[in-house]
Amino acid sequence: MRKLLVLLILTGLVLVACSGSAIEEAATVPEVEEVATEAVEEAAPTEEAAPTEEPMAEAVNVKIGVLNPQTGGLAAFGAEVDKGIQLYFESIDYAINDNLTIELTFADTAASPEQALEQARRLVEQEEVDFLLGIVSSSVAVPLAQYADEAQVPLVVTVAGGTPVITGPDRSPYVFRTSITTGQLEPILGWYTASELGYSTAVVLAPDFSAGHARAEAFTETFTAAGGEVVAEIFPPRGTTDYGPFIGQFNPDDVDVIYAYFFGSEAIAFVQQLNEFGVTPDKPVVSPGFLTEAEVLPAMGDAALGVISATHYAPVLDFPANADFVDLNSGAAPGTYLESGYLGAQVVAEAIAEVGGDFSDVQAFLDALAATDLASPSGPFGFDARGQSVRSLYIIQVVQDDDGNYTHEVLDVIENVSQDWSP
Amino acid sequence: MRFWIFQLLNGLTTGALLFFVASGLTVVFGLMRILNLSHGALFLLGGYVGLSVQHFTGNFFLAALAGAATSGLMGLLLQQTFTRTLLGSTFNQVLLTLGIAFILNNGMLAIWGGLPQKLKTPDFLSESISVFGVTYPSYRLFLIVLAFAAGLALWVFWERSTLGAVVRSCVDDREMAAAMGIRVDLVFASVFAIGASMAGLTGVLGGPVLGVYIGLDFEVLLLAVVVVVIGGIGSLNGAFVGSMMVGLIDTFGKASFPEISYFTLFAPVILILLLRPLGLFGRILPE
Amino acid sequence: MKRVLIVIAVGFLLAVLPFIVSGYWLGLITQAVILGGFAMGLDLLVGFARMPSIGHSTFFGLSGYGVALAVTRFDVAIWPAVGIGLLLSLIAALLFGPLAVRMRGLAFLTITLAFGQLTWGLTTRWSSFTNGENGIPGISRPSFLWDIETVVGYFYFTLLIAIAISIFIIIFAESPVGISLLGVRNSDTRMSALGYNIHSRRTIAFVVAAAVGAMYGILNVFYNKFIGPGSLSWQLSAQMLLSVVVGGPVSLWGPFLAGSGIVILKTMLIGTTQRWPMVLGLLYVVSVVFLPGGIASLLPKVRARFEKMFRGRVTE
Repeated sequence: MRKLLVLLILTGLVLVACSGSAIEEAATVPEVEEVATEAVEEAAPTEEAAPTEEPMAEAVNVKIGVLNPQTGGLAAFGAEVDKGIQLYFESIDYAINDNLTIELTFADTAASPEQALEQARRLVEQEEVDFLLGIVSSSVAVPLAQYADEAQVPLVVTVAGGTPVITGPDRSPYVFRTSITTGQLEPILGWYTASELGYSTAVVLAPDFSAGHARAEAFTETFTAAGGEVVAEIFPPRGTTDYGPFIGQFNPDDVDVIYAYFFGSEAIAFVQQLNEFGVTPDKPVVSPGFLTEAEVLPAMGDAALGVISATHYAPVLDFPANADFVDLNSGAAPGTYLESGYLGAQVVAEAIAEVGGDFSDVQAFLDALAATDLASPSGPFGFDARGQSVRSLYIIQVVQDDDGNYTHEVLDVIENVSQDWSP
Repeated sequence: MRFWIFQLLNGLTTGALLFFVASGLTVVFGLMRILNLSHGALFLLGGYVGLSVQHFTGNFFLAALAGAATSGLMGLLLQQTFTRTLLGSTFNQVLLTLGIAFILNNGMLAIWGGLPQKLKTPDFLSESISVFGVTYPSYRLFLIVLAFAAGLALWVFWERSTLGAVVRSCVDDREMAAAMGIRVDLVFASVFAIGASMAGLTGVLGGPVLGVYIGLDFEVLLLAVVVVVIGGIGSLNGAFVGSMMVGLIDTFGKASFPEISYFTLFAPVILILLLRPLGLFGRILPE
Repeated sequence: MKRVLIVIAVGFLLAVLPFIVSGYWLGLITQAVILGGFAMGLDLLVGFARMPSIGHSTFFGLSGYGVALAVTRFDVAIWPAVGIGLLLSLIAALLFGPLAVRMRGLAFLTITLAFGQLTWGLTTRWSSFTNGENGIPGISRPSFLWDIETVVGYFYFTLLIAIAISIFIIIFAESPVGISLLGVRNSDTRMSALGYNIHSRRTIAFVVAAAVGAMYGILNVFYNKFIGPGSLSWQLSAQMLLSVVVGGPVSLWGPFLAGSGIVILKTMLIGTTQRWPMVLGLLYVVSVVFLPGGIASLLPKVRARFEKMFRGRVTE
């Protein structure tokens, strides 16, 4: 009897969860299976129609393996990137032309290298995808780049930027990265903070993991080279929720400016607590774009006002492609992760079109990627010789618009920033 | 000086939140010998429900009430459904409660999405106060005061009230208590539900400080289990002292030696366990 | 002895797999054998000695890190590096074991968690040496009697070692020490009155389980050609503990089956639904409610039913 009850309750639980997720996903991300069938349906009519209309053309279906975290601490970001990728392919109806359709197969990395490797193998060897797209976590990027090289499968990294090595001198020819890497943001921000904003003493705060240290170091280097002085470097552990102990480690009176690199929940907690402890708004804050991106901005409220960020994308950018992108997102301000997914999809779609969906010659696809030159929502986009994106960097500041919404104002633009940028 | 006052207050805030979570966990364990590994999930469930209620009503106290009630009911439901399994072997308990923790964790991800969120501090506590020359958020001070008050109230209930005596008698000798006419099953159910609702309440109370996000459930659970073990299983006093100790060690460790903050937290824990295997206030519980 | 023969027979059966399944499945099964074998070793501690450890991935990960660090940081040749990796895990087990076995039940669970978090914290925080969260990629496989760079080659390599370790586990379990462990579990006061040193028995179980974990940890690092902090996380420890419980403690084969089954199931589930952790959680709950003795508890029931059927036929 009791077991029956257990079974009933469990079924109820699953139903609740499923309906919950259905509501959630109907509003944001369509189900994975749905997308797959959509693409197949798309493919079916062309297959029937092709022989009669155009006897020469053969229907081609390109399968893309999308690897992003759907569970675990980075699930929110993974969901955004997935959504961005879908947003782009939906806008072209999952078809480059009548005979060339796109099919997406999603898998969850859970931001764990081991799981990501296992899923990459499944996608490539079992699902037989033509190439891989995605990756949020830097710790997943390196082993996956290694796998892509061994398996000779193209990998287009859309977010993970904390690992310069995968587009470094020893990079694999199979790996491209559409997001920016460490050298394309902090060095510029450090130089800008000292020379253009004119601050001379700074405290540096970043999470205690490799990307945090790398970014802090990069900022410090150009900041001091331009005449600034870093009085303290503080590295709170990843996943810190209470920044009290760390904010307490420096005296606000001793510094002109605070450099902070945090993202997601850590960004919200940090910016709010900086305000609660009375450090802001008296002291200015500079940061990479993650700290104040559209996703987290509303949760921060007034605490974020005045923060200056260096970013590769902001919803306020004035480009025709960005207007289209914001329209597709139902007019809502897209976050940087959504943009990353959208941009990645746009880049690979161009390259797929270039080779006509033919993956028998992988080198042709890699060449097409390398030759990318497009007008993206964040401005002109291309790759350097090592597969790393070349993009503009925008200096933006958090402001409140007339309706009371929190948004950004573009202060400055630095164009054509490559990973080897120097002042 | 500023550093020490600041970090002391921070440590006490963390300790206060831990105490609310760990007290429920330890009493349930002491009473029923149930290690509820879904306690962290019940904590987060309260936080998320509180978040939604605050979003719709804008009222923090309504949010706290709703969070506590939801987690309490969920706890009661779990206890009623799985009584037999829960009272069985330790292994099956671990398997069952961890399984439930996974289900709840993923269910919350499905319902509330993965985006990390934060509750708003209630208006009248949103100002910062100057304490010994240190600017400190009043909400955190409120949490510290609340923890001490709750600790005292729980202690009085536990040691001085008739109901407390009933619960204690069930801890010491279940059969004897039943023979004396005490409805042991009722005591079990209510204690489990109260423990769960305290976890849910803490989810809301901690919302403005810790935030609400997937993964917080396991972080809190790990710390709470540590508190229970070093405080001594089933001991409220132990939970209080243990929470404050873990809160302070964790805070000062992070502030002074961030590179090895795991070491500064877990090394003392290991040391305490080696010196006092039953925890600071622990005693051998009857099987 | 009977069980050793069964292991060898199962090994021969599995050896046919490369002729049947695709390369992808063979890779996945290799991974499943690694984690299944790890769970089987953990059964000695969790099942036989009834000590629920939630920190044994420490030894699985430490040996992997030992190999990776020796090769990448100190340019040690691969086979000696394997020795270093095993030694590192063994030293850690000999340090932690004698301290941890003084605890029982929940306290033991917590202290193993604390030890596990200590080493995990060390690998994630000591970035300059261990490469932190990013882990260490680019570890190449050693040369062996046959080429183990290929999927098939590595499968046979894993299978061979897994058979050897399993035979060792069975011999250990059937030895006087193994049997005395069961006695310690059932009544430690009586055993200690009989003159057995409880702590030393438990320490032996702890170290043997750690050594088995360490060996599979090395198979794991060569399989992935990568090691990261995930391989000594408490989540992996929990998955292993759950494998033992779901499989049925003390049976040895149950934990192996559950440990490898969970790997395959998880990989397949991730491919079908985003809600895979929920399905996995449900399976744990269902298995504990409907099969409280674990998978292994099914065997006597099945056997009884067969015997009944058989007997029924005879009388007819």
